Amino acid sequence: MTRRTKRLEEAASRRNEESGRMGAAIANLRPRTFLEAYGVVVIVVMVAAIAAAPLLASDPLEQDLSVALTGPSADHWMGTDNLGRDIWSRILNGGRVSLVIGLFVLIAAGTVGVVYGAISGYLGGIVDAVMMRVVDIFLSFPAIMLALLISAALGPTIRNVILAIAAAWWPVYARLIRGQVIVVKEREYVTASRALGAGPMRNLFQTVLPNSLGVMKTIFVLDIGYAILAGSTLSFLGLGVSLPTPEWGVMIREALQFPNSWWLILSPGLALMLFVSAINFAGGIVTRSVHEIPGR
Amino acid sequence: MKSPAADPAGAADTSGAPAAPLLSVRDLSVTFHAHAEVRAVNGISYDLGAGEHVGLVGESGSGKSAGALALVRLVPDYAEIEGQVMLDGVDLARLTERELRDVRGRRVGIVYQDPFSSLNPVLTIEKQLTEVVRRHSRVRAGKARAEAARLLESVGVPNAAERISDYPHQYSGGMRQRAVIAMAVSPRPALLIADEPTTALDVTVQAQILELLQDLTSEHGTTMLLITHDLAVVAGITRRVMVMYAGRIVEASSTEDVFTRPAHPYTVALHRSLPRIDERRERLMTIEGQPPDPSRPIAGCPFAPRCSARIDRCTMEDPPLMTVPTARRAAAEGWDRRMIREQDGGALFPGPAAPQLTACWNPPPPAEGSPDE
Repeated sequence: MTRRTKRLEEAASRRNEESGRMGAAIANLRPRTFLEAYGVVVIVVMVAAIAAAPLLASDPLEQDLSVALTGPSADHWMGTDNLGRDIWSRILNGGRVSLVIGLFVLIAAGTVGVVYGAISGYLGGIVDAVMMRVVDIFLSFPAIMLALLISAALGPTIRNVILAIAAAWWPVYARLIRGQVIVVKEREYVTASRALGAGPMRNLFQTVLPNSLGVMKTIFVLDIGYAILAGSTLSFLGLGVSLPTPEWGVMIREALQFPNSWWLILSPGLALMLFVSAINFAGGIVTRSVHEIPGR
Repeated sequence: MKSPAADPAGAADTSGAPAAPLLSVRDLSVTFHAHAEVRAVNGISYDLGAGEHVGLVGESGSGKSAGALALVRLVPDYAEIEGQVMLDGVDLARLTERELRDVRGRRVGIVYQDPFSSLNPVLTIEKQLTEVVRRHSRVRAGKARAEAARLLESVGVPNAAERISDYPHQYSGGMRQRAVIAMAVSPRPALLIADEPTTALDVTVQAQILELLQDLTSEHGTTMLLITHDLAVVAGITRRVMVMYAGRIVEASSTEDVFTRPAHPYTVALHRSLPRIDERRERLMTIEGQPPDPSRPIAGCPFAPRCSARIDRCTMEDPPLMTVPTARRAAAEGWDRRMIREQDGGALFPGPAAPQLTACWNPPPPAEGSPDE
């Protein structure tokens, strides 16, 4: 190894320790208000509990008809449902399903939307016009209606719920990223990169797109919450995840049959509300970190 | 193409010129099809010899940047380029976009005016430099990184080995421009277009950047086209200067001639509006009026409405580029275009061996040694 490369490596490691861009970004991720801190704490606790579900609770599918529909007690501290299954366990395991739906909807809709919108905005002209009319068609349906239709057609499984919601959501991301790309592609460093011989692919994915993703980060984080809500909504309407898989929306739907057992509806409702609101509160941090990074 | 009656003073005879020029531009026009048709560059022709440093001077909107960027078609889609651009015997105007991509960067490098906006803010300097290196020479990533570090050091970024992992926003303006220059010279282009490289920088940094450009281009025998609105910038580092006004070249000559005996009233006026260290003036002269609206065709000389030496002919007929003696005799004897062409020998355009050229029906008198009266 030559002396220079060694020096470069040393310098690189030193700079990483210093407050480089990464350091600044992490410092920006620290919560600053009470609500942000609350959101972060709730998310961390809930995600940890959901991840550790097998350790914290019994099998969510195990039935014990002798204790069916009992209220909170020492054994089942959130009570049991009509088949004697432990609600606490079903909440934790149902959270897994909800979280998986939320994340995968974003990954699927985000990838498709970003690539589609970026290409549309970058190419412009007639291609852009045609691609955006397709988006308009999708947007002209209410998202939940579209998701319901697709879900009904595909059948109620977790994968289909993800597909249905993602199919209804990607046009929003496509629209958003297209606007950003149109702004960014006129910046001088894009022309400068062309002046150095960069072709359209490199230009779009190396230069334009990374500079267009700022807003998306915020929207993405906030949308995890809404994706979870949407998944639960589908399940609640009977077109999402079906029994016996535990899922918060399904649990609320079931609870409607037993209006006298308040604990059945309280737990999944609270879980949904806590989690989604926490994501919204914590989302402010991401918004700030995106806007305060210098050089943007 | 030559007339036997060539003016003895004019070197319109190109037989003494060195081998074919690196760059030959003929009748280059750039028209922007925006709300109105704007003809930013109006049929300019010139040659650049290999290794030459040539200044392109003009005020904002004179078409100097559009004309230079149009060489490699880096103008917006709504701009229409006409004319011929021969680089080393290849007509760039006929290349496809894909073929042109290999010319950009590798054969023609560009340094932009504003280093604050010509670097990608989300990538480190190292990443951006390494990419350029790899784009133009297929080397492995490790070797490209070492080359990037060497480049950054060669353009004089202090602590290059450490600062290479910084993002552009952590650099000062001068350092950024150095990084931009490093990227532009990395593939060893034959032609470097420096588009107002010092305009966005502090005065103290300007001189350093110009010196760096001078050193790098001399070292590699690179031809440099230095675009600027500042006559002082070209004074030190270019041998020839072309003055543009309203999309036309109105004067072309050696840098010395432009300063000591400008041959176009516009150049004279430019000099008057420069601050000078060797005399006291209460206030700088300004050039009255505005440049013509480029979306309207002009009948005569585009500078005529603002010109103090205007004669009747100026408002009626657009003057061609002529040698200065021809221009004087044409003014005195009322020659028409054909006679001028015969006198100068064929179509004239600025080139390495061309004499001082002016596009004026009434050039400033020869006796005037200083640009000031």
